[in-house]
Amino acid sequence: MLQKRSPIRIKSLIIGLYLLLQYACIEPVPAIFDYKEDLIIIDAVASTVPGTTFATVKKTFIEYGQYKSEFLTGCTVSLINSDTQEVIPFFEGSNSYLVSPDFKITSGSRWELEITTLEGKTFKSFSETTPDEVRIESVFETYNKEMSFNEGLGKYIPGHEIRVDFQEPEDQKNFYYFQYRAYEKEIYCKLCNYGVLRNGECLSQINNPQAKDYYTYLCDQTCWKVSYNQEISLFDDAFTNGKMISNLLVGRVPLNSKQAVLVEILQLNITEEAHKYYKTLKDIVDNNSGFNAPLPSALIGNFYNPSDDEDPILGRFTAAAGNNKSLFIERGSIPQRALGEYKPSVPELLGDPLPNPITYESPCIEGRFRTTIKPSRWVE
Amino acid sequence: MGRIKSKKIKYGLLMFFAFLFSDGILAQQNTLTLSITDSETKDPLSSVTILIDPCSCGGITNDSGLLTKRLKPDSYTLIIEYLGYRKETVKVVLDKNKTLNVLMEAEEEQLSEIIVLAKKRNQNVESTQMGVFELNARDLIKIPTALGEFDVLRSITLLAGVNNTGDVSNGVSIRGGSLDQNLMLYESAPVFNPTHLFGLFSVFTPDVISGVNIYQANIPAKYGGRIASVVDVKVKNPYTDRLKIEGGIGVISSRFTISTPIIRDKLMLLAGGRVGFTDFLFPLLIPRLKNTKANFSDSTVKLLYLPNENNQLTYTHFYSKDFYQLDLISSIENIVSSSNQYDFGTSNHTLRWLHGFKNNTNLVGTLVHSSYLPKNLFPEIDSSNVIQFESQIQYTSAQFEYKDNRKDEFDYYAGVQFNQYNINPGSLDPGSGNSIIPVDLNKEKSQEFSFFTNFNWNLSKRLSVSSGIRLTHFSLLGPYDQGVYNEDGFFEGINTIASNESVAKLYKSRTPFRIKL
Repeated sequence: MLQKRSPIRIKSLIIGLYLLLQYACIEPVPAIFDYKEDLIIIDAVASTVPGTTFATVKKTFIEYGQYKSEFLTGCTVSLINSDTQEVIPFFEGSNSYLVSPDFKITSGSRWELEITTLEGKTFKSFSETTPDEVRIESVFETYNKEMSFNEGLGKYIPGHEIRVDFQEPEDQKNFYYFQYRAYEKEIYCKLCNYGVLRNGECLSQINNPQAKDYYTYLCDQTCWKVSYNQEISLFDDAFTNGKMISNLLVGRVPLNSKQAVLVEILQLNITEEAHKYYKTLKDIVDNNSGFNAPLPSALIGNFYNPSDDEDPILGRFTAAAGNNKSLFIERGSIPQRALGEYKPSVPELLGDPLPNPITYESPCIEGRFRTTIKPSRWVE
Repeated sequence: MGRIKSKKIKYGLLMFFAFLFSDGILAQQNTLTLSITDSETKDPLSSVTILIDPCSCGGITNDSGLLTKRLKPDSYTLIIEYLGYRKETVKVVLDKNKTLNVLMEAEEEQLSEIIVLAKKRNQNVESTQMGVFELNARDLIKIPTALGEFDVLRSITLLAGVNNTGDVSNGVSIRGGSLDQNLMLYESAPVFNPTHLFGLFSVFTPDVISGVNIYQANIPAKYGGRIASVVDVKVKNPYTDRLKIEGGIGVISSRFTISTPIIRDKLMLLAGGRVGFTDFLFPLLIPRLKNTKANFSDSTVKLLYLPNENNQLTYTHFYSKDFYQLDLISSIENIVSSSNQYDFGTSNHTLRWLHGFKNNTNLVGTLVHSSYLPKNLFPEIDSSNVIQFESQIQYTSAQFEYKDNRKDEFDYYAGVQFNQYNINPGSLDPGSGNSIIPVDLNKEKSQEFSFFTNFNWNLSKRLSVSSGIRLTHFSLLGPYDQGVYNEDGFFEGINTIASNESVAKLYKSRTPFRIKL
């Protein structure tokens, strides 16, 4: 019986394999994104400009099928001088870890970063030498009513293009990374949709038919909103070593409101390894569409887990020599419509059927995206 | 009985009047007799067509060269036509019966050689040449393409094994090969960038194409240089005895073609061109393309010289140009400019001499020079200066091929080919400005000498053998800068080899000796 069945089984197996192969050959393969949960992402910069040293630590997760990351609180973050072993502790701010506003590093010094999470995991960066500084000679802006194309809006958006001039030193290879911080006066420090502000949180009033759609809360002191560049701006002196660099586009500030804005350009001199990292990041994030999109390549940072080589971690610590220049831009007379949505003031009023105590203001919490410290070049 | 009599009387009367009436008609007509003969041999010409005006009638002559017509008296114009004879027009006043003798003169016309090609119905089965597609101009025109633009590369993507690698791709992928694994030949000259408009259209001037051969496998020995395929695009020969002009204005491009004899039956010209300048329409269709410029042009000029019946000389010049600027692509970094512009140019020359021996063998000599010059342009901000980065491939080739088709069962060809490549990897020119350091990479030069032969042997009705071989000797000439890397893969420096233009590297190879049955 067995001898009779075997050939049938073999034939069935061969036919089955053949069909399986045919199926595999013609069936389109859906793209699978291997999104890792609980992956630590670190972005840290130590610079020679006071107030620009920071570190962010984020953890990835999936919520309702959406890929997200959140700021990881409670970490111990230390900047360590690799030569002197001097330790500079960071404190936890709003969505970032910061050092004292006066702290700065010096060119030629070597630094590394150490981060310990609440869970007890420690991550260290490789040591990085701070390059020499190249000073910005001038910074200027040009308004462009069709500054860039916004894919989401499907149209060209207006804004200011920020350009710099500087003399490129001849005796060394230099790599530049440009960032900007744009300061605007914050009008409302809190806005609660279908709710009111109580004990620092928006308390839902969705079941209160007499409550308004939203309430606005003024800042309890003068407060500035800080926004940052959305594009990665890099420059390499491969073709320009020792030349005067003019009209280099380093940032684009979209016309989000008609308020005056103070743009602080930060020119960071970074190492070749850091430039390679940010260039890869730029190719992945900014250059990932169009006819000549570069092939995706691995983003290799400089963090590791000293107790577990296989522990995946993404991110980079960069020691940079920087200098900054500021530009105050009045935008009130620009004819084009601002992109941001302006919401009229809706304060709580005495007698409104809302839970006590009535609240008019919200604190301006110091952090990367909001500050109470008046920028030095701010013009009232 | 009375009824019968009455009927007979009526019938008699009817016949009587009919007779009287017909006699009246005959009395008003004259007879015209035409006798048509050859003016030299005096032989009667049969089947000659004769048209008579104003009666709008006519006829053809009989075997004796005669035609007889009865016509009313009038003045008539006779138009007499016969194939191979000069047309005659004769006026005649037909006031009586007349006989005309017309002598027709033979009209001799020298025609160009006509080649009639035919294929056996099952040739694709019997032929040893496999993996080849042949498309002629009529086939290509029939294939629908985008916006009515007939296009070689778009058309061949409908063939088995040919894919385009995306809507905006610079060529085609044949049997899984990459774009640069196809040898694109246009009148024997290689085309290094075969597309216009970011890959939407091929550069080959559509109105002058006679056909395209695509060799996907078993590439004949006379072709070398690529591993996936050979796409051989051929230009029409301008066999013409009259001026012919064609043209058209389209949404994407406008084109113009002229073919004319310059010296009758000796020297003939075919010239075709195409320009695309409708980029001003882009922002109307897609707002995103507001700052986009995309212009292109191409032209093909072919001269055919027939000094005698055994020799044929053709010269073809192909020119293609593309200019575009668009912000859909990532800008080139580290050069400060107001925009990035791209300028691609191809200029190819092909000179071919065909000598036919009387014993059904022939010799083909081909000289080719092909130049591809892509440039990146960087207009400086607030300045008229333009920084320019350019590179270039120059290809020069001489090929001689002897073909022997004397025997039905055995034919072969053999030849030699010499190629020289001059490559400029890149030079960055700051122009009149001072913001950029000039860069001039070392030029590269190489030479390639090949011998090839191929034969087809029909051993019997059921067995045929085809075989070919190509032997190649490739020399990379110095000076050549070779990068030196350490064990970790990091760049350490440059080692210049063969600094005195001697041979830097030598390769000898042969294609696998192929036998197909």
